[in-house]
Amino acid sequence: MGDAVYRLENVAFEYPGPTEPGFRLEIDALAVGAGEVLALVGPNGAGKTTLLSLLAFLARPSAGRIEFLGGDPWAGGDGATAARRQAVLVTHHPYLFKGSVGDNVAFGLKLRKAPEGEVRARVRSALALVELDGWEKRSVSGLSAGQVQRVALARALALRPRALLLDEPTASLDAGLRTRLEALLRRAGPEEGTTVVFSTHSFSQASRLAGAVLYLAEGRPADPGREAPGHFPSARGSVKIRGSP
Amino acid sequence: MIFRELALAVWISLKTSGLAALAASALAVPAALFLAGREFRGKKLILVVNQTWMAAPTVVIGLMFYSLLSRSGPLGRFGLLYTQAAMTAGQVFLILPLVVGFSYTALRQVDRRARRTALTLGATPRQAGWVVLREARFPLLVAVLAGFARAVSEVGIAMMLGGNIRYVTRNITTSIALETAKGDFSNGVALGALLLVITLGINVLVQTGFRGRDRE
Repeated sequence: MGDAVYRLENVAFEYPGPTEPGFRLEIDALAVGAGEVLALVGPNGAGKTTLLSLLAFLARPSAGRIEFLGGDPWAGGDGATAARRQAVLVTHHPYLFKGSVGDNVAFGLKLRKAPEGEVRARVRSALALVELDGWEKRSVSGLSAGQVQRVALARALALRPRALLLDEPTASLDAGLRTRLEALLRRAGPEEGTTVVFSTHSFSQASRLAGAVLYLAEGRPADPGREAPGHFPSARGSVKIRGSP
Repeated sequence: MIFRELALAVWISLKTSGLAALAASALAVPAALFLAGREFRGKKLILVVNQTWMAAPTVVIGLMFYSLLSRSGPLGRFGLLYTQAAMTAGQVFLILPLVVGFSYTALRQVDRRARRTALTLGATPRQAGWVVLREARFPLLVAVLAGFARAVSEVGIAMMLGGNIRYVTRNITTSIALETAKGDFSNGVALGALLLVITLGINVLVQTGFRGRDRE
């Protein structure tokens, strides 16, 4: 795959200390191209969130190599910070900084020293994407779980990252909003060239959104067996995304 | 007590204790950030020592600094004894554990996701540290104000290291001690009330300004 955004080789990860004793994530090979959508499916504790943290460069693999946009962000210098500016994670229970919705959505743009006018425009359009038009001045205190999730998603979308990493992005949303958000994610992928990796417990959601599914069990790619409807381009051990050579 | 003397005593109190609070915060907040963000061997011991240090009597700290700064002491050649600088240094030592303790508690209460969120949105590790401080800004301000209040109300250090020299190192608390020693209790009580009013005023001003900026 010439335009691989991610390329993982023999990646392993273990949590240091007694936090998750015995847990080990192992991915032999994984490549995800630009504009592709990969779903991570599996039971609780399978390693989906851990893999997303690795792809977001918030955790460093214990072994192996994660290549991002052709380079190794962990090779030294500011590589990890530079990679994080292109690969943004929205967690399952997102954290919003104290202040207003607008401050939160503008946070990453201000870090990137975007001009004031551009910050305002991007905040406005990102909030519109998650159906929170005009919420810039609202305080984040008192938002519902679903609203928090939408603000966090807007905060990530405003950055227009090369890779959008989402941990159970629709878990707190009602059915109508979930459908519209899924449409948004479909557009973000193939249409806009953003690589999307998201975790979900739902095979049906994975099939609706993703070009490929990586089923994880106990930290390793596995065969979903009878749990999956059976038409996923997934494979044990080594996963390649549809369309990749 | 003449007005000029009173005004100078107030000014010396505010100046020495304000500087002590700023200097202690500059040392204590990074130390608390370090302690709050890491688990390492010996951390509990550091926290216990810090807790114990909080209970150190001001006279003992004054005596310790006196032995360091007196002419025959190791730092005697600097001629700092009975100066405002000596008072400030002693007060820094007094309030440092208090500001560390309060700041540590404030920073521990910041949601652990704050740093991670800042990082994933593109912050450098240093910027992420600032984000954590910003999230704890109000309790951190309370820590600094508590340090200031402790410094401005103490008398042992100011007396031993400042020497209660009129117009030079006499502050509100040493003035109270002097007036009381002279048997002029009403002056002592009036000065005590003045100290409380000043401290209250500073607290209200800082906290109101801070919350006002917070709402913007």
